[in-house]
Amino acid sequence: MKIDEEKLREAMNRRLSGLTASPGRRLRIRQRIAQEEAPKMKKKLSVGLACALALTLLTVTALAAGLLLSPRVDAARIADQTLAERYDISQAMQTYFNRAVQQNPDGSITVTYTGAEHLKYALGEYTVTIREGKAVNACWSHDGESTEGGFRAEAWGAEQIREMLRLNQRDGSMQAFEGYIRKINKAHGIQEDPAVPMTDEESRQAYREWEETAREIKDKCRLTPQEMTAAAHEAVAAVYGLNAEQSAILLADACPDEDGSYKLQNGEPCFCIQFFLVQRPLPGDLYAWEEWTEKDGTYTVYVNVETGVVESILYESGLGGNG
Amino acid sequence: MEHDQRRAWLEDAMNRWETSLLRVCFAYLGDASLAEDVVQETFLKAWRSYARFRGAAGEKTWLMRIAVNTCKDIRKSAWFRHTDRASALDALPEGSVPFDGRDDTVTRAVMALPEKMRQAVLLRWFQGMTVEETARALRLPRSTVYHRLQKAQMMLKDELEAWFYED
Repeated sequence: MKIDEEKLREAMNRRLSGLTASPGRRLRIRQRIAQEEAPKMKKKLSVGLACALALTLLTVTALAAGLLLSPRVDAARIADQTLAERYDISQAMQTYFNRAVQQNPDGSITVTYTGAEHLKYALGEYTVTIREGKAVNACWSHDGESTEGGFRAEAWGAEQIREMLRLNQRDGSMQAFEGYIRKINKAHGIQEDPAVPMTDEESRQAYREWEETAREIKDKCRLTPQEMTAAAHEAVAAVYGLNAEQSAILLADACPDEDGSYKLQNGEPCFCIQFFLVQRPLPGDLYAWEEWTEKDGTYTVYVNVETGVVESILYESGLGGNG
Repeated sequence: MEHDQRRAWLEDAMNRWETSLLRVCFAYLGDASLAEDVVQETFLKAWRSYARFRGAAGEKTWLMRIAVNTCKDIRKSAWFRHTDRASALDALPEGSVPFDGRDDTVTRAVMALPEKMRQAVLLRWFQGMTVEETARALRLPRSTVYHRLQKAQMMLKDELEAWFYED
């Protein structure tokens, strides 16, 4: 008696078919290789020589490896898709939310979309959990509540957000639905946090800290701003599915923060670069649209200055008045 | 140039062997998350020692050997020994191919084999490697692989009677 190997093989492959190749796993492998390849320079080398060596090696790595994306970027992309599929909230509609991406100790990644500032209660919070490149859970803090009745409902879903965008575009402000928001917040005892301006001394101290951090990050830099900008540009086009025409008109600008373009992101030393996409600009102003077109907005990208890995990309359509 | 070659080899190797490695490691360890780690580790180790790989043993044999050795290291850890993995198969994500109770039975039976027999069965029967390749991957004499397969066959015979045919 002999076992039928082929039958056994087919049966086991059917039973284990849930285990398959994953782009996320490959990305992690490529990233770990890129990190291992990043040269570890001794301080005794002159800065110039160290930079020249590192640049040569890393340019080769970046070109050969293609795009290096952090697992967080991939997770955020999957979460965005899940939000659109499950709750009908497109990336453009995320303009009213703050998105946060958090790596969990068990290896999963949680992406949360919290209604911005005073919209927090009405819009609620969406949470998507990503494990092994797949969304394993998606929920909304208002799940189960009624969204019927337009702005009179207490839970605002996709229908209300679409109307908010329309009114925002028509009026250039949130005035048309601010009253409803205030009413909902009042009913739930939510007080708006008045913005407390920094004192002069606090501002100076914060500025000194930003400067210090930026200087430390610049010292760690192994890529030129041009190379990091190119990597960021490629990442935006790939992650947000821009076509060749859209990619060609992306306008690069330094991050507008007071600390310049070098800052920490997820604890990693990063170069920050922002891109604007305006497909139908106002005559004489390339940064403002005459009419908003799909994918228009700003893309803020953080590139790790040591490894070239794109640590984060945040898209803001600007439709909610933030453009 | 060599770097580009190595990069191209890695991409090709991931395309061809990632799924097989993942399934073997899962069936060996009974833990999807650890299997995932082992697959990553396997490709990294292969990447590092690519210069020493001359193809004599065959790429799949080489990668399976790295994977099995990495699995063995994991199994030695105290943490692994004290973790319950009985429900690992039930917790797998749904696959693209439907399976029936018979598929489930045979997979569970193989996963329940003693470790040494399981290694041989996974490479020889599940992965379709030759006895020679299995022996190389496990760094064992061919006679030992034969012996382990025979023993595995004996153990599985009662439970998987329908899977056997007259020689």
